[in-house]
Amino acid sequence: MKKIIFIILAACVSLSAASQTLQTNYFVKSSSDRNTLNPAFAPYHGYVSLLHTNLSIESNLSVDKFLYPMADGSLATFLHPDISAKNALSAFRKVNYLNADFGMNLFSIGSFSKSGNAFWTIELGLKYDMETSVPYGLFDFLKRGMHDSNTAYSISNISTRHEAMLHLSTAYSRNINDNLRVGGRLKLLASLARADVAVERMDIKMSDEEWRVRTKMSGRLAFAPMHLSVSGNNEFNMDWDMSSIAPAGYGAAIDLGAEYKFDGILEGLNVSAAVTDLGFMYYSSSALSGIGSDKEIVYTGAENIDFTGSDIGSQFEEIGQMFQDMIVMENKPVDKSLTRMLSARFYIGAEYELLNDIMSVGLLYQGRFGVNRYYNELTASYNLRPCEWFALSLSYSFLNAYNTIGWALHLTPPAGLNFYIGSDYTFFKTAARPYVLPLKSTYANIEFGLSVPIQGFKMKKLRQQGN
Amino acid sequence: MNNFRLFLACLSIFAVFVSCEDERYDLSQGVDLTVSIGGDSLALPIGTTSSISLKSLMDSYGGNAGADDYIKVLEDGTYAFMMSGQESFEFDQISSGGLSMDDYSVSSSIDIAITEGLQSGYASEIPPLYIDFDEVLDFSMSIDDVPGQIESLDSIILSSAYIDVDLYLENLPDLGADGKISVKAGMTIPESLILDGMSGNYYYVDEPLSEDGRLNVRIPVRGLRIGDIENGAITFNETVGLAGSFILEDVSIDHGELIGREVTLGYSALFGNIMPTDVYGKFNYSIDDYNVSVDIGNSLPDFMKGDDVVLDFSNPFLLLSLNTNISIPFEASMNLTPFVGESPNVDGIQEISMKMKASQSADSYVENNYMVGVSDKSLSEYPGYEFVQAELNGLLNPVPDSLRLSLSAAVSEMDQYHIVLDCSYSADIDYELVVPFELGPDFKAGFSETVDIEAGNVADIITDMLRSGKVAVLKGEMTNSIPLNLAFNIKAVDQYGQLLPVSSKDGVLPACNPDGSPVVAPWRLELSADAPIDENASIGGLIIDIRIASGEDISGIPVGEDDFVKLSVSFQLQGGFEGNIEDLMKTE
Repeated sequence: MKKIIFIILAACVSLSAASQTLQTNYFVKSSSDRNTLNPAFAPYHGYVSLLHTNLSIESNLSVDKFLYPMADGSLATFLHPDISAKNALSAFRKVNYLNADFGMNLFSIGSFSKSGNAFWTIELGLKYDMETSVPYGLFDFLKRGMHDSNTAYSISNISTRHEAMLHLSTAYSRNINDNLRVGGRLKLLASLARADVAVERMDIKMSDEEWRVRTKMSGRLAFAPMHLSVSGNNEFNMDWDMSSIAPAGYGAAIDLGAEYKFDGILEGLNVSAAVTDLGFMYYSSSALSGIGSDKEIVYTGAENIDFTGSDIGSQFEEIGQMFQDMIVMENKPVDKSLTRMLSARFYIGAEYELLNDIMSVGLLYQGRFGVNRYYNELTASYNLRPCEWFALSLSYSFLNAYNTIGWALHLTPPAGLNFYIGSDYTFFKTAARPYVLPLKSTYANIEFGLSVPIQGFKMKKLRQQGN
Repeated sequence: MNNFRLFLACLSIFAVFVSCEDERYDLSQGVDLTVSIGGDSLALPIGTTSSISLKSLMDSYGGNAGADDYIKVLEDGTYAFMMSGQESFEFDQISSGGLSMDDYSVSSSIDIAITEGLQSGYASEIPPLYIDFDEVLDFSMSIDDVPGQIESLDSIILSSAYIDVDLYLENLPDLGADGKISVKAGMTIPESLILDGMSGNYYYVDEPLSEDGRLNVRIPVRGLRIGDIENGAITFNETVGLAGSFILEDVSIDHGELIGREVTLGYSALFGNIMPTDVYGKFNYSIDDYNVSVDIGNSLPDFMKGDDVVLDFSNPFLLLSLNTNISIPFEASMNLTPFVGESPNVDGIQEISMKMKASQSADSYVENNYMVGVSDKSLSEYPGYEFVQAELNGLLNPVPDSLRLSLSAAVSEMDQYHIVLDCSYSADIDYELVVPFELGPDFKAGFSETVDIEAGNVADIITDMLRSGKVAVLKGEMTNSIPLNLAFNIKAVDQYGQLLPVSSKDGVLPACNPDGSPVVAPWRLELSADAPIDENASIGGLIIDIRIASGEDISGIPVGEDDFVKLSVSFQLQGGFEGNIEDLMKTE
């Protein structure tokens, strides 16, 4: 029966959501990493992490939306005149996003209590993440431009956010009873730098007689040692003050999780839920600098142009210079501190163990509030653990832009070195070498870790006694 | 064991999950970074010109040196082609010397007996004695070389001529101490002499003889009546008649001794100081044909020259002003002949006749002012001018190389006039050809202008676009108050000045409204390559050919210096601009 269930679960739809931690690991019991998804989870044994790195990119923009094979065998961008606007623009969504994460643990340790019930971790890590959102209207403008004698575009909500931060966290989990295990994590955050640029609105009207652009945009930088400003001629000035080297902001967050193992008729069914990154970041005004633009610029060409015996070339050069002078940025002093909520995530999972837990199947729902959109993803996974030191998980994610297949491999002997590697989004179609770029989707992540097990044999013995 | 087999089976699933390379996306060959910039209808607003007045265009395109001298602006602001000139003439003098005669005298004597007169009624007095005479003196004079300008003469005015008649007696007997002699005689002066202060030609004297026995009478002669001129000569065959009596009174000598006694009467007549000053008569004065050739070819601005030019002006006129002090009106004849090279354009010849008024005296000048033209609508601007109709609008159509103005004048030989001899008669002619730019419906002209394009990115980009087969479009809106339709096309030259296979469809700027108000209309000019453009060539300049033409609905509207054209310009490439991402990302 469990074999049949396992085979049936071969077809799944992938979904995508940027996850700092491999979600394929969610049901890998030996994973030392899954604790970050649900603080109630504990691995088989403690560990001292030597290396833990994850890199992920997610976007509903893929290479095949930007590059097109031509008849002569070359590649051209979607802006190439031979690529029709209909074909090129059909590839873009109403909101197009590109997110990236990079994280690495600088220090991480996890250990069980003497009784083997409680598990705690301490982590110090560095993270960088980026979110960019581009509306369809911008691609429409880039591709079609002025397509008749009077053309208008109204583009809103172009944004990009970049942030690098340090986090120091400690987590604790324990069994409440035979069925229920709960856990929590407290994270202290320090923002090293953050930059936000947002174009709230861009109204473009183009005709033979004039081009009219109204742009409302703002940019904000949180970086303590440097103050950014703009001078009258659109020159950016960076004023460094090395005496004020400090984080741009501080914050805190908590993670909460729980796991319930059914018994009786539902034995083998485990359900879990967690919410992570419930917290905030605070940026003091002294670390913030802002620039912005809220102007309407009208270009009607030059007045009193002279074509009689004059240099037409220099006329066009003057026009080009005029365009450069059209963009006017001004300083937007930030006199108030900024507090922002972190993007919380929540996970709801259900796993059913098969064949004495040699394998299991699971379903995980993940939700996250991004800057401009809500991400959610559903992942079905098949987890194989023929022995305690080997685990293999296959997942299929759907509900998001792409359906992708993930995988994870864990080698966790009780002594020696523990290693794992995995990816939630496996791409099958790539551009030709030498660049191995996913072609049809831009969901990719890779995570790997190397650690030294501690309490390996002790925990193994305790588990054997528990069974 | 079963679990292990199952494990291997699951592992085999991995064999399916193998990335496949899509050879179509071979990034090692690079990516064509050509992009369409701004869409296929992108129009770059270039801007607007200032109001380009016709004055500035004329200053720029008036052309050759010297043409500026002939393009003027009338008081009402209308442009006009104006050429003027001046010439003076001297009429041949009629010399008084040709009409002068030497003094002419004739004398004779005769013996006449003293006779007894009739009782006079003085019973108590001694009756006088008489010496009666009735004699004739023949005058025969001639003017042998009458000046040729004189056709016939009515009279010659003499300044201070006279006839002196002298009578004297010789062999006169003694008449006694108290004897006195007087003369009563009548002199018949020739009819050809016009006596001053006398209405007839009979002069009577009643005077005593002088102590020396003479009587001298000077009769002033004002002029001569002239008869026919034959073979250039005037002949006078006249007589002076002398008839009368010497009256001897208070003669104390016995009359018997005196009666019958013969006395010698001497008589003479002298016609002297025959100096003519004026003449009345008919004359055959004429002004030798005066020809002046006006160089039209070098006087017209460049845009009015060429094989395609048709100079159709609706209201050209010629202003003539002739001032003279001659007291003879004469008829002037003017011929205007356009020449193409050395050959006259017979169809364009204009013949104009005018009557010139005479002066009141040789010391004053009379003005004769004429406006010769198609219509008199400009006459009010020239008070005192008389209009003469002539179809001058054919003079400049086709454009001549030169215009010859021939003037001749001659007096009427049918009427008599007064001429002062030895007087300098002259005439000054001022002429001005005025061609207001009030264009006829057939007016056409044209000019070219070369606009340089500096080598650089802009020139290369435009050349590349044309080389790729795109059509460059200049378009916009124009405001035109000039009463001319403008058609223009563009050719391109490369950086060495060689023609490129690039040309344009005609762009058209319509003329102003029929009421002269500015017209607002769209305009468009398309530029494209007619043949492949050499890879190394780049646009270095544009040759703009502009043709201007009038039309039925706008003919006659004056073209003035304040007329203007104003353009808004945008630049578009049909199919859109293309560029390369790398080039666009470069900054200077």
